[in-house]
Amino acid sequence: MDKYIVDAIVRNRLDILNRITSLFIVKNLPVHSVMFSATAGNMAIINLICHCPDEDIMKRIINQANKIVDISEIYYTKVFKFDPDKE
Amino acid sequence: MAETQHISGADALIRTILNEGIDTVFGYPGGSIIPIYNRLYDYTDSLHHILVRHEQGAVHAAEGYARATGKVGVCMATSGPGATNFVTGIADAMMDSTPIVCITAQVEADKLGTEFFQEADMIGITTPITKWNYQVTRADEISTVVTQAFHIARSGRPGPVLVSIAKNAQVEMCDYVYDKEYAISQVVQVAPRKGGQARDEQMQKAVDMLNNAKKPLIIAGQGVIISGAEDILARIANKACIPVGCTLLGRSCMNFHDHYYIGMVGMHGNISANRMTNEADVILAVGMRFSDRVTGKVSTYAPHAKIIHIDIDKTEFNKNVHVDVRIHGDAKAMLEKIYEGLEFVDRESWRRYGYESYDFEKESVIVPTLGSKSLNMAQVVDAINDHYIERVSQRKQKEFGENVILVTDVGQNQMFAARYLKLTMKTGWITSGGLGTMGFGLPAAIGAKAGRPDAEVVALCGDGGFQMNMQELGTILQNNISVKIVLLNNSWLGMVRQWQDLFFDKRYSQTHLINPDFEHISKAYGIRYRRVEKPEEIIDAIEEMAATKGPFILDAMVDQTNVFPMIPGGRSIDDLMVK
Repeated sequence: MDKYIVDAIVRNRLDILNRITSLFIVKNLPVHSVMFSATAGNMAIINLICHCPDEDIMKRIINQANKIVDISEIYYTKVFKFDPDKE
Repeated sequence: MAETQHISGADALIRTILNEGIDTVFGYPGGSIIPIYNRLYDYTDSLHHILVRHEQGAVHAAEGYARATGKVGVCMATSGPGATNFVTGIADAMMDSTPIVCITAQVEADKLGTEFFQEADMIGITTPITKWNYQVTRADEISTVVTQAFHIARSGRPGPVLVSIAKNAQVEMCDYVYDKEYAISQVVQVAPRKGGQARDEQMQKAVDMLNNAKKPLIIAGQGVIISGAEDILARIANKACIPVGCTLLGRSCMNFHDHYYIGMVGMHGNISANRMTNEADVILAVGMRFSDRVTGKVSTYAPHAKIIHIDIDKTEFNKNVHVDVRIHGDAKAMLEKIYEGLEFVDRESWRRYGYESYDFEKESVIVPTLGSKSLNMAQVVDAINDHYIERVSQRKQKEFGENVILVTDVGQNQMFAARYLKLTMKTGWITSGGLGTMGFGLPAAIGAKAGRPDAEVVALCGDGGFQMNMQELGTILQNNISVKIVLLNNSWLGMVRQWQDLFFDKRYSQTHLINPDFEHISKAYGIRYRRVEKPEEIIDAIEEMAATKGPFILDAMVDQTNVFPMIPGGRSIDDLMVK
């Protein structure tokens, strides 16, 4: 499974973490780490690390997250493992 | 600047509901919500509260109200068990894109998380099944949050919103001002990324594909009805000679007698619509989501077709089926743009192909079912067309089906209704599609009638689903709601029995029902009742129902006829069963 980092700018609301992580739970994907930092203007930044077997599933999750009220911006980065033996 | 008033949180809630144009709410009081009901006592002239018998009835009634009126449905319940009884209805509204606002009370803010009497974490419980939810802990939040709730419920792809109001917030005083513009400006949402130019390119591509197609097909879903795109859909079909199939929830998006209407797609859909899906070279899918009940086996679905998908919810694109052209926007606005570029192409032979398939279905399924010597659901539904819808339309000097709302429950009754009812784009059609909630029919019909008292509302229920929310007969009694109930009673959980019959070696495990005497139940609730057992009795009974002013229960003792044609779940049109 590939590793992904999800970054989101959200409204600072008590259920927003649940709303985002439940998108992963419903697809049976583990969320390994979540970081939440409040910012000015009642907003917050969320950084989430997860593993996913298929990038298409990640795209769908981000697409769905885009629909959640209270999310201003969300995107993911795929983490590539550099393996010197394969070079 | 709007006027500021010093009022309680409960008052603020009721005034905001009224300011949102809502005249009817459905609910059931309890400990934590008493302050709201206490204030409601002073608003009985302006806000009509319908006291249901179970909170699930309230939320389904709110769904029925919303679907019948196009407004937002509102339901209220107390904390704990009252609120958790909303859960099924909220999930139903989420799946079927129904705009409702659910107000639930909560224990006082300082008692949250202490396992207080009747405390349940409704924000946690409803997060996956709501479009948005909010825990109000202060009275001064109510005006903004409830206004936002209505905006979110009805905007974009509609859906359910839950607002949980702590008891202290209901009684505390606040400076109330209804400022809709400010409230909406505070809603954080992703700004649309695609500019108009990208969509214009997609639009042009779609128009070119449709103009060049030899066998194009339109599949229309509930999005067409929600956006009011029925007229433009019919104009497109007739301008470019494109046959139109519909989904279960989109059944009333086109007149049944339209030259280009070819029936319902999906598991129990018409053979014509399913075969044409299989043969089409271009499919224009509008306001539908390619559910598994529509596609069957995805890998064999529409094998020759390029798919153009119009939807207001861009997460639907490529979710279940690969789409070639994605058009993100309101169905009506997008179809109007497509209409401009469409050219007339003679596709009469393609349309006739659909009609030939229909002739096959008529011969192999429809005529034998309607001609059966024992009473079945199809005969009852067919009789409703000519002896109820026609009769009440004539009486009110309306077009066929205008001012008639047909509500179904879930199961065989729903499938027979969807297959055999003659619906027009002016007929109301309310059913539970995505979640498939048994028990939906009766309370949804009550909600529809409450929202549209001018309309004749018929609820078609099976005996299983009817008994799931039968307590709502009390709501009919107390509020004198004139709903006609057609009980398709075969003493079985018909659809499960059908699957046991076809795929589980006729092992009818726990599907036979021993029913109460519905005549006595009707009498207890003061509702007129008639029982029919033979095909020759049905017309007279339906005419009696049409002539009756108040509520009516028509108890049709039907046989165990299965619904055909059928494409078994996860299979393709090649596996179509007609018997």
